[in-house]
Amino acid sequence: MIWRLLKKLANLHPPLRPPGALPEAVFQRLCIRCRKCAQVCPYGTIRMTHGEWGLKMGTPVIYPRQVPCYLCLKCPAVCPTDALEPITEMAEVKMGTATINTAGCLPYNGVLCRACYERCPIYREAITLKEEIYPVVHPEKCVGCGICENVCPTEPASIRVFSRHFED
Amino acid sequence: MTDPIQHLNRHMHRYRRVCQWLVLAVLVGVPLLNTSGIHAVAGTLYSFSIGQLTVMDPALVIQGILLTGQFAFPWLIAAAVPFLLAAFLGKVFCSWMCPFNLLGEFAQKIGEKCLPARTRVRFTNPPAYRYWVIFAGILVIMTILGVPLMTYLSMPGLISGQLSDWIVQNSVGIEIVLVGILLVLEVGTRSRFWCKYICPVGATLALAMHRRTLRVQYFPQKCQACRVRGSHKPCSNACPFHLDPRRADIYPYCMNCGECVVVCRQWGRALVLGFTSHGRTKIAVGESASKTERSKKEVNNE
Repeated sequence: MIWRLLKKLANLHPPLRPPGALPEAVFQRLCIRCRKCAQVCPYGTIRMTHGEWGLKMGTPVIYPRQVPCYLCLKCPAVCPTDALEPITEMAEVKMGTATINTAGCLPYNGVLCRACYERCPIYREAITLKEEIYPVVHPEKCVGCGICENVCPTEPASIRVFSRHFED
Repeated sequence: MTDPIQHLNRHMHRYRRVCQWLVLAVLVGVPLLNTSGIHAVAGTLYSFSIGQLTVMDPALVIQGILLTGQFAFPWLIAAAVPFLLAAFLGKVFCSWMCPFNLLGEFAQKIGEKCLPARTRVRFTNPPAYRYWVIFAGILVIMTILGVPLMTYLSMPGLISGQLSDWIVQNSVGIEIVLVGILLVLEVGTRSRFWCKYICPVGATLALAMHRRTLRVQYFPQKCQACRVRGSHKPCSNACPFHLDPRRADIYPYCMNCGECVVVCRQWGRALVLGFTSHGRTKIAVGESASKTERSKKEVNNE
């Protein structure tokens, strides 16, 4: 009972996992913490969680504000337990979804900015411009790579990526 | 030129140390290669891949099956290499490759040199069931909690993983504290309790052992019973686990490190690492002559 509660609390805000990751509960069981995904990542995107007690110890996470995922898809191929499903297409990636905080986003506050719109790898599909000015995210197209969060000029970023596995 | 087996027996300790340091060098070298853009080799002692070939710790395959209730065929192939190695040579992964064993052996030596000598050291072989009960306990706890316990109890995995993290992302996790605590305990107890009783990686490899696996053979008619200068049992003293290799029941604890064999060469050469077709010669000190006759025949056969 307490164990379950603790587990739920720990998984309340699941971190952003590398492309192809299974739902958080299954992922934590299948991931053997072998570090191969971090080793093959050419951008240093995938970091192993450090300084954290619990089941997240040594699991791969992505902090898009530091380094986003550039969707080269080298990591799912090396995962020995398929905790990262072996996907090959960019569109198959469903790591997370971007959400815009309109209170901070520059265009919503009267300043022209197209940073996220122009850098989005799912160009003109995942982020579109309403009335040619206001960026809008389309969750069904967004893969959650976090490039938008990385390039957002405001501090803190007004567009943020959250894992899709919120309720798992 | 001497017989290569004899040569290996004589220089076993040196070869083993070289092998251990080489493995450690590989564990440092692979992440260094990865950070410089070469990804043909990758991994840690949890799982290692060379090109398309993936090798995985068999303990983690058991973990995967127990935690998910599923079985994937690639796991079988990935675990085959270490499992077959253990089936032929016993737990040589532990003695020749595992970085924690290397550190543990040094920790034990530091403890023996720097701490006051213990008044009483027992050289008895613990019963085999104790080993399996602990292993089964770990498996049951892991299944009930649904926690990848093997991953966190695998010292070779933790050490190689933290080495990789240190090189790839310049930071280490708190798991390294567990390794440190265990090493301090090894210095204090000098008993190598972790490798001897608890380590699930070694236990999984011990599952692969059978009658024809490489074993420490004992030939009692050669044994000098080593009571020179008041020191007795140099073989047990050399054993990192303080087992008595003159008895048949050193398995599943023994990891075939060969320290007892190397020491025994200075005395009666009664201990030899070798294969037999019918298991280990089951003769303890002072047993009946008929059994001694049988082992004499084996000597002649060799």
